[in-house]
This record gives sequence, structure tokens and C-alpha cells, in this order.
Amino acid sequence: MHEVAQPRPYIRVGDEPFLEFAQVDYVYPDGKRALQGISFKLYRGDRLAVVGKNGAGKTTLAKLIAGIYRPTSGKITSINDQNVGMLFQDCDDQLFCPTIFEDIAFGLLLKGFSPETTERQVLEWARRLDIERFIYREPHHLSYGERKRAALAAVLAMDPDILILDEPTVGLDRESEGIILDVLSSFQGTIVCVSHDLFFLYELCQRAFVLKNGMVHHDYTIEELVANKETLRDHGLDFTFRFQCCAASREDPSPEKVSLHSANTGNAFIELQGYSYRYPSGVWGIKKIDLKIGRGERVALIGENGAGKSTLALCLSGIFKGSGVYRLDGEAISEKRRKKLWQRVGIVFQDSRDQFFSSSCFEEVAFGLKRLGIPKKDIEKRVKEALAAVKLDGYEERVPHHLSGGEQKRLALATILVMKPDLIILDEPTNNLDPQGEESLIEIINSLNSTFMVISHDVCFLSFICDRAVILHRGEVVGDMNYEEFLRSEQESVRHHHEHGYRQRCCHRIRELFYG
Amino acid sequence: MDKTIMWIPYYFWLPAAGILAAIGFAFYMIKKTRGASPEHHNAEAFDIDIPSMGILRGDSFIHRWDPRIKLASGILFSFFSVSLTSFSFLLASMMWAFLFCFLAKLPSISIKRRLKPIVAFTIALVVLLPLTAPIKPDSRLIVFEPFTSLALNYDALLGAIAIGIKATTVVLVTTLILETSPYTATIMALSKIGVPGSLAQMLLLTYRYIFVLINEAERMHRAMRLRGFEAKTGMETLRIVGSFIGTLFVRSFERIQRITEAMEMRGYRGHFPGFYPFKARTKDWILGLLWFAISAGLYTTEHFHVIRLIKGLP
Repeated sequence: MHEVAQPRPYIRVGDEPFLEFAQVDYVYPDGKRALQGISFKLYRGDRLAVVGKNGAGKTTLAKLIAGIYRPTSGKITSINDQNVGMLFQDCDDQLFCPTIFEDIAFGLLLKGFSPETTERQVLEWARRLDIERFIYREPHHLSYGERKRAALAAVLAMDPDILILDEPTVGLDRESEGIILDVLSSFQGTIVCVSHDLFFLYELCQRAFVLKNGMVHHDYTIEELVANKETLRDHGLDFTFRFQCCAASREDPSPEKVSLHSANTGNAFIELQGYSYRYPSGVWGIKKIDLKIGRGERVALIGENGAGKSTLALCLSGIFKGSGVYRLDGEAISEKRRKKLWQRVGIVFQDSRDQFFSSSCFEEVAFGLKRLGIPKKDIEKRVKEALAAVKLDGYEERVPHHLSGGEQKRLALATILVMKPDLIILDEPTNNLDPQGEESLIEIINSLNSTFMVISHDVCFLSFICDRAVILHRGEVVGDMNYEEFLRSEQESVRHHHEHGYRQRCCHRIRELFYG
Repeated sequence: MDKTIMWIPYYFWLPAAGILAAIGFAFYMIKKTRGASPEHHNAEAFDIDIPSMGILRGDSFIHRWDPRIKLASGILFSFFSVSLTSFSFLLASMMWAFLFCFLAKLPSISIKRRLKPIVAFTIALVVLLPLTAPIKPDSRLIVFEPFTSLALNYDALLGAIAIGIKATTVVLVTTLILETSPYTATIMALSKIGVPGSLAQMLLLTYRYIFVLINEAERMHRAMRLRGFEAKTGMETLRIVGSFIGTLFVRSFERIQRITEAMEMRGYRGHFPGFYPFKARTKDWILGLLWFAISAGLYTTEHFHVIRLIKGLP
């Protein structure tokens, strides 16, 4: 392990220090020590990235800065009463009013603004975050990206001096990410951003705290952080594997990858012809999809929030029954076969916690096997194998809800792998994963021979796994190409809200810093 | 036994039943061929059958009516309506409710959506009550020829229809109130007319988070189905459902903590802000008095009409 850095002089971005932590400890009511000996000063205009492995204490630190938690010991000094705003990781926690308008107006009215001023402010922030069309709608009718922007509008409308962001880019499509980044770039106050997304942090922040086991191990400039491979590796932040992605996108597609994109002509393992699914309310989930996927192929399913990606996954797994032709391994899926599709198709959901309801990891993984009627003596063996495959050996008796985000994601994968499905669908697999977790997930997936369909907005991550990109837009397939081709077709990406220009730019800059 | 028996000959009820069945089948086929609703694609498909209360359609004088007076008048009208007993007055009150909905230019889809469960409930009552209500010595009976051994309680049938009409009236008034003011304004108005503030706040949060909770439960249920879960009668299913509910409870509890934190960060100290500053104008009061007059008029007319009948007055 590398040595913990000596305290460095504070990096004064602004002139005025207004928040000071002195030997702050925080212990949760259940006795778990989350932070210890935290000391730092925050200056006006600072843009601070807080990074570290899952469970390092990042969110706890953010909540202490926000004033949600009070330190167990130590002192937090705030010069003048600072107005702090926090964007929570789950935007549904923050949109608690029946309409978006009321959500944005909530804080302003409580602050004592007149209804007229409040309305003006609400409309202004709605315009800046491009949610004007939705402000009189209920949050549950909006896509995830729109809700996230609405939650940010509600926070920014209060004109905070310090803005805290907890994983702001998780699950966002590129369009929403771009809008949020634009608004944040013009924000005049202090920003504290907790994230695993180092490209986003590099674009937004100037200073970085590296947390480990509740302690600040490093207080770097963001350039120092991204250029320090040793620190990155020791803190599970080594994202340098992504450099291959930004380099690959500039090169010509490799011939073998092009040849993989052949399922549309050969014998398909999965075949959809004119397949549609319409929700009972009349909303189209997917419309007239024609798609063939070969056995062993790895398909990236790409599209903006609400494009129909998850609906397609649920149709393929038999949860939703659409209209049109669906063949799996040459067999048309009848009603009887649809009910048995769970034996052949597995989905790892976006939020791993959706998959857990047992009291131990063993029970969780064994659940599907019991339903398959596997003999008891084989269940134990297969559960152990599956846990080993996702690097969770020895976790049999652990409680799933007590695992870290990365471990939960791997456990969710194990619950599916153990059933040996023919098709594995991963829905936003990188959400909440630290870079080490992402790399480990890539390794695990690449060691398997199953057919994969991966839903993600992370085009770089997908490039390590997938050989083909299927682009959905408003429920229809608008692009189906080799993955390398997709990466290069920037124009196409921009049109379908998958502009990843700033990420490419960051990637190249960081590479230059990294390799000197 | 002194019973009034109504004989319905088969040559009457059989063709009537046939015509009703044909009309029902035709409606079903039309709906099936036309589809459920017009084509559209939403940003995120959300498919829970709870009527939306977020979007107001229309801008009538009822939409502009002060929600407090509208709510109070509506509640009084509902109370007077359910107190009515005779069919003519019940129908009259229902017609008034329909008229108000018409004047508010409420879209028929909203009314249909809210009336759907009431119609189902009424049909169930109409079928079950005449068969199950105890027959008293003075009960009137209906017999469909040739099923002479099956006598239906005519009074129970009338009672079931009366319940259906009353329920329809109340649902129409509720629709009128909920669809012509923002949901938050209606709930705020509730607290202004005496409902405890904390209850009103709970109603606001419940409406918002019921969708989030259902969505969460749905996702968890899908994940279970994808690993072979099938609800059966047995201890195993009970155990799994128990774990499912427990997990959902823990997740909801954690969410409540986060919501509280988010609310406090935006300045919440026990009270929601006054999103809608209420201001009653003269015309709001006039409209309220008019609706009250209709409600009270229906009730008193029926009341005196009944007294006169009892006393044998013309």
C-alpha cells in the first residue's frame, strides 16, 4: 500500500475560507464509525471532488457539510451562515410535491419570497434546465433525466453558497448530463461533488479529496489526482483502462469486430419481427422492432432515458407480452413458453437492491435454483461457484443489504449467473460502481460465454464488452451497427442525445497528463 | 305470508337480456378494434391505474372558483345527496352533479375513469343484494318465469340501485373538485376548512410517494418472477411474500429518512408553504350559496314531500 500523503497546504481557489472542519468524527447510531479526524478548510469558489471506494464515507462527509448530520466529535466552523443546497443521489427523495412547479417553489416560498418572485424564479430555473414543458406535471410522469434536472432546479433556485452533488451523473443520458454540466459550469458558488465519474469530476472540479476508511488520505488538485496512478489504484479509482476506449475511437474498426456483426443475416438466437409493446394506458413502450441477435453476441442497447430499452428487456424476458414475432433459438414464444422464459433469460436490474429480499447471500443466490428444481446437494456447489465467479467467495452468510454498492452489483449478477441463462441482460451495470468495480465487472463479463445485452449510457464501458450497438429512440430501433462504428459516428450520437464529446476531450487531456 | 310478487314473463325478459348482451358485446368489439387510447409515446412509461391529479384541463368558472368554498359546498352537497331516499330526488341530485361536470367542461375520459369502479361496484350490488338480502313478510319479490323457485328481493334491488346512484353522485362531485383545482390547492383548502394540517401534509406526500412505492414494489416483483417466483398457496409463498414486504418496508423507511433530510434542507420546519394564496371573491360566495341552495332545496323538498305523503296531504 502507498503511504498516506502528508498534509498539503490548502489549495486556495477563492479568497475567503468559510467552512472549516477540525478533527471531525462521525459515528452512526449503530456504532459504525464513518469518518474520523477530518480536517480541512473550504474556500469560496472551491470546486471539490470527493472520491474513494464504495463505503469510504463520501456521502457521510457530504451530509456533514450540508448540516444534515452533526459531528460526533470535533468542530465544524461556518463563517457567516452559509446557505447549503444538496442534490441527492435518488432524485425521487427530493421531488416530494405533486408537481415540479411546486417542488421548485417549495424552498423559495419558505424563504419568504413573494408568489410573483417565486414564479419568476421557478420559470427561470426551469428554462435553464430545459424542463419548462414539464413544470406542471407530476414527477412520476417524467423520465429519470428530467426528474434529476428538476431536482437540481429546486436546489439551485434557493441560490446556495455551497452546492453538494451526490453522484449527479448516475443513470443520466448524455443530453441531461450535458445540460447539468452547462448549468454547473456557470454556478458561482462552491461545489462539493461526490462521484465515481472521474471524467465528469475532471471537467467540473479543481480540487479532490481522496477518502479511505473515513479518513481524508489526499487533498490534491484534480490534475494531481488523475495523473497519480498509484493513488488511483490503491483507492479503487484506477480508471486508466478507459484510456483504451478514447484511443480506440480514433482508430479504424478491427476486422474481427466487424465480422462479429453478422447475426442479422445468419441463424439468429433471438429474433424479433415487428415486435411492439404498448402499456395498457396507451403509451408505446417499443414499436415494430426488428432485431436478430446471434448466440454469444454482445449487444449494447443505447438510447435516451425513456427510449424503451428496459421495456425491450422486459419483453425479451417474458415479463411483458407484446405483439409480433419473438423467436428464441428458433422456437416461437407461445404463451406457455413465455411463462418459462425466466429459465433462459436473466436480467440484472439497474438498482441491485430490487433483486434482494433474502436474509443471506447464499439464500439470495440459491433462490432461482430452488425454483428450477435443482437437487439440494447441487445447489450448494453451484452457489459457491457463482459467488466465486463474481469474486464474492466467503460471502455466503453476509446480509445482501449490508454489502457495498459494488458488491451488491456482483451479487445481483451471481443470482442470475447461477441459473446459467442463455441470455443475460444487464441494465445500467456501472451505476454506483467505483472504477475498480467497473474493471472487475468487465473482467467477469468477458470471462463468460453467454449472450449479453447491456443497457447503458456509458459508451466507453460498453466498448469493453460489446461488439454491436443497437440504438433505440422513442421505442424504435434507429441504428444497428458495429460498436466501433457507433463510437466514431459522432454525428449520429449527437442526434440521439449521446454526445460524448466532453468525455473524449477529458480522456485525451488526462492521457496526456498521465503519460506526461 | 303477505308478499307482493311481480311475475316477469320469459317473452319479456329473455329478449331484453339478449338485447343488453348484444349491446355489451358490440361495445367490447368497438373498444377492441379501436384500441384503448390514442397513440402516443411518453418519456417514461408509467402504467398505474390511479387517476392523475396533476394536470388541469380547462379554464371554466368552476376552475377559477375558490377551492375552499368549492370544497365546502361540494362536501355539503354530497351529504345532502346521500341523505335523499326517493329515486326522483336521487336522480335529480345526480343530474345536478353531471351538470356541474358539464359546466366545468371536464373531459369525459376523466369522468369515465373515475366512474368505472363505481359502475363495477353497483353491478355487483345489483346482482348480489336481491339474491342475498333476507326476505321479510312485507318484502316485494320478483320472479322470472319459468324460474319460479328463484325469487329476487325487489326492495333490495331498489336499495342497490339507490346506493349506486348515491355513489355516482359523490364520485362526480369528487371528480369535479379534484379536477378543477391543483391537487395541492385542494389539500391546502382541506386544511383551511378544519382538517388537521399534519393530515393534509400526509395526503400530499402520500399522493406523491404512492407511485414511487408501487414502482419499487413492481420492480422487486419482476425480479422475483425472473427467478421463478410464482405465488401459490403454501408456507413457502408466505415466507417469500413476508421477506418481500419486509424488504419493501425497510426501503420505504430509509426513503422516509432521506425525504425528511431533503425537505429540511429546503427550509421545511413542520409546515408546507402556502403555494396558493386563497382569496374569496363575491362571485365565489354566490356560487357557493347557489350550490348550497340546490343541495338544501333538494333535501327539504323531499323531506316535506314525504311528510305530506305520511300525513295524507295533497
